[in-house]
Amino acid sequence: MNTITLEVNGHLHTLAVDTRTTLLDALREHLGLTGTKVGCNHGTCGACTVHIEGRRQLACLTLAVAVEGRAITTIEGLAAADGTPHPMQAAFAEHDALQCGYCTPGQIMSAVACVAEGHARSDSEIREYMSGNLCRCGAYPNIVAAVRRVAEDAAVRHVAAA
Amino acid sequence: MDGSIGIPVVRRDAAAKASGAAQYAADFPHAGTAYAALVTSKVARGRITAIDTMAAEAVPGVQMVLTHHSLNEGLGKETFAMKGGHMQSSFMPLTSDEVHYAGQIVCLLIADTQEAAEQAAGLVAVEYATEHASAAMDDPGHEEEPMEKKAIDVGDALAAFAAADVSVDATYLTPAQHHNPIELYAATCAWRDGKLLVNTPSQWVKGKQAALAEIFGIPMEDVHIESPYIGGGFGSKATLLAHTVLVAMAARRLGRPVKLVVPREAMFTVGSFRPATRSRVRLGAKKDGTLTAVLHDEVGQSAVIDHVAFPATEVTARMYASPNIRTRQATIATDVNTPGFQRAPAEAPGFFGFESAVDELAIKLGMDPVELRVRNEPERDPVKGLAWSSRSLVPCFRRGAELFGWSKRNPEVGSMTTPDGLLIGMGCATATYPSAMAPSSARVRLSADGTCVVYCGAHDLGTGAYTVLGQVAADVLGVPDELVRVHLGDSTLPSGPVAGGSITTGSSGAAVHMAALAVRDRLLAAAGDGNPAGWSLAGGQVIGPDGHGRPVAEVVGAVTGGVIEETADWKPDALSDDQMRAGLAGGMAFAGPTTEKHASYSFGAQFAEVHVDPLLRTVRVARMVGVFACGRIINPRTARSNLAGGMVWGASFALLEESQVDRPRARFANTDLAGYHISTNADIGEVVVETIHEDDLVVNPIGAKAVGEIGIVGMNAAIANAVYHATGTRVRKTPILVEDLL
Repeated sequence: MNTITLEVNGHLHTLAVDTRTTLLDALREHLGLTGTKVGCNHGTCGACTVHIEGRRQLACLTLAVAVEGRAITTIEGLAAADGTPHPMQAAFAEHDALQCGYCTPGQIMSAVACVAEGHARSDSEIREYMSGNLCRCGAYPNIVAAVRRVAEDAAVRHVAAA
Repeated sequence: MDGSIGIPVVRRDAAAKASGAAQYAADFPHAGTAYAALVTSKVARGRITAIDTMAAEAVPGVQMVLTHHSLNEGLGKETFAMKGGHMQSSFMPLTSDEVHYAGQIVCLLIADTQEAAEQAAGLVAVEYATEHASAAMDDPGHEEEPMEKKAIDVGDALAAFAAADVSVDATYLTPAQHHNPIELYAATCAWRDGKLLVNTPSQWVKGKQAALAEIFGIPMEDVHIESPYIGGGFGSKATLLAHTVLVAMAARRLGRPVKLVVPREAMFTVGSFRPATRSRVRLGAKKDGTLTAVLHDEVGQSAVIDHVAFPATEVTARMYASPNIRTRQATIATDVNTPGFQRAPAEAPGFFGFESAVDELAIKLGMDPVELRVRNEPERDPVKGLAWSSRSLVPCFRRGAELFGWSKRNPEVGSMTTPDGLLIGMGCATATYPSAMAPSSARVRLSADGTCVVYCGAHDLGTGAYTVLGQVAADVLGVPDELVRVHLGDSTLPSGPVAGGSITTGSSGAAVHMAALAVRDRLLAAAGDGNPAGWSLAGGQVIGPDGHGRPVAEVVGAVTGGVIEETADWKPDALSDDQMRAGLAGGMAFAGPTTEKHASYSFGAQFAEVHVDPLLRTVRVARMVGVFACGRIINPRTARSNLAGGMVWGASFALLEESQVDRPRARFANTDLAGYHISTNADIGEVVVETIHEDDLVVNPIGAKAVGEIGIVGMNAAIANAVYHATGTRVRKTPILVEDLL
């Protein structure tokens, strides 16, 4: 067992983990942050997508001990401090970009990063850069619509700010 | 009614799902939880001759190792769902040294941490005496077992086929497939004071409750299945899977909650799957396209341990008008885990062949495939002559063709290309799905604070039931949607049916409707001091005979207790009261799709445009259009998403999905999401869905027919037909791969 301190959603957590404990299991089983989902433990489905220092990463392929001291954001940390949903969360609800909802936290974490990376300039680009997140319910067209909406709003704000 | 039905209300659970707050089975914390890991059989058939667990038991933190030597417990009278029980299979692992399929559970390890349990699992050494096994139904040596009771004969189809002006005779293959919901099978079992709490994703909380009560010899009320959210089911999470029972047994022995999250690889063998099929379809027609003979012989993969069959022929036989119809059904037993229900279990594989054959006939006739289908539209069910409760297939085709731009299709093969030189293919197919119904209970509560709460042990798999069932109550009681709450997915709620066969909206919706009407009657009576005559509900007001209104909340507040609550038990007319009681107690009780007078099906027309690279022969689905007639649509937003999701499944079926069999070892080979391909976002182009309204007062009181599964049904054939139109190659198997088009 190793005692580590993880910075998750702006809060520091000290926990004792096995060297083999994945970030996914540390979040879910040690910190009770179960919004990050387990779908394969192989890095093939994207359900466990989180942000590490703002980049999307798969928590199932990341060892908890390897991310000490790095800023981790999960789906629980996306909303504003007053609880207002992140625009991507609101867009997923508005566009019905979810059905069973299980892949949704990973989709949303990926989608936020997709827009920030500048990979949401067209529908085909969104499809390509969102393909690391599988949705078995087949909500893909609505996911593209939600991401497009947020990307367009961000572009409008960018223009307005300039 | 207040008009809440038909409104595209935003999914009631969308915010919980988008925020990560929605709790799925593996998300419920239990203090002191121990973690489980599985060892599964590497051989497909034989006996375990030795199992050495010493090294595993020596791993620090390991608490328990269960093998067939140490379990000494069985299922009691509980059994396979198709034998009247609730289990996925009649074979229970760890109850003997027998091995019946690769990937069968042979050992369960429990430890203080997940890491220790998995380490220990890797140290279990199993020796087997192996026997010859086959996991593929086209391996040599298999014999077909005919299902004579499933044979359908109308007229003399063999003679009519032989005499037909134009005919098609072709055989089509579909492979084994796996549901692969993104949520893994999970089970956390906790015993407290002799009572069992189970968090497991469930499409049938009542069935699992009944099964576990039987297995552990405790009253039903001492078993609690809690499954408010299901991370995709598609049929895989209906029956009780053996590992859940093992986890419950381990938890009882250990005196601690035990949690198992089944690894993706084991998902292929500890649950069920869609079995492989082979369909021979023969169609005969006059030169004008009038069908004279429809013949469909289907063989489905079954298991040695359990006979199972999902006959598409009962549906294809009713698809088109023909004076001569002949269908036969057979199975082939293989050494696999028991196959089960997977989204449109019979229809999706069966219609691939059947609707491909219709396209082949259209080409031979030189007829437009839409017109061929329209020409053979039956006025009544062609098998029994029953009236359709509603059937709007032709309007679906007309509207679908318009939306798709079918008139711009040049029927000549390979004649259409994109500006960048890709071959364009356009195809269509018919979709249908039976509208069966099952008994359901529901409770509706109206409170003085204005809220309306629906309680029903039905299930929302992402289908929209949380939203839709609330709308049904709101429609009767005139409650604004933001004041509606819905509780589902819990065995303590009034009994709902299994979430299978696309029955939830119609069946539980009817029960909610009935309970809401009873609440309304009491509300009006309360307003009229016991006499409801002349009182009515409108705009959140109870209107008196004098035309003056009082707010609903005020009337409810004046009632003793401040709430009006009613529970209703609904059953389809074709079931007896005894059948209803059995169904509500966790049994299987279905009525339809055919009754003495009517045949009830949903119908749809599906269109696909594919782009095929002329050199690389890769196929991409550029567009899909589906127009469906499913009775009354309670919520167009959730219904369209459900139908579109089905179409995505159809594209995945046509081009990607196959559980490949390692034949010498008789096991599934591609057992992860890197090897088993499902559609990704980049695989899916534009998807357009519309629905056509029908007033079907026969099927159930709210007029809702099946939505959940029809979307997949014709899509695979529409894509195969489009691939033919692009390339001139008729691929009679799925998935359609590059090598099939070289």
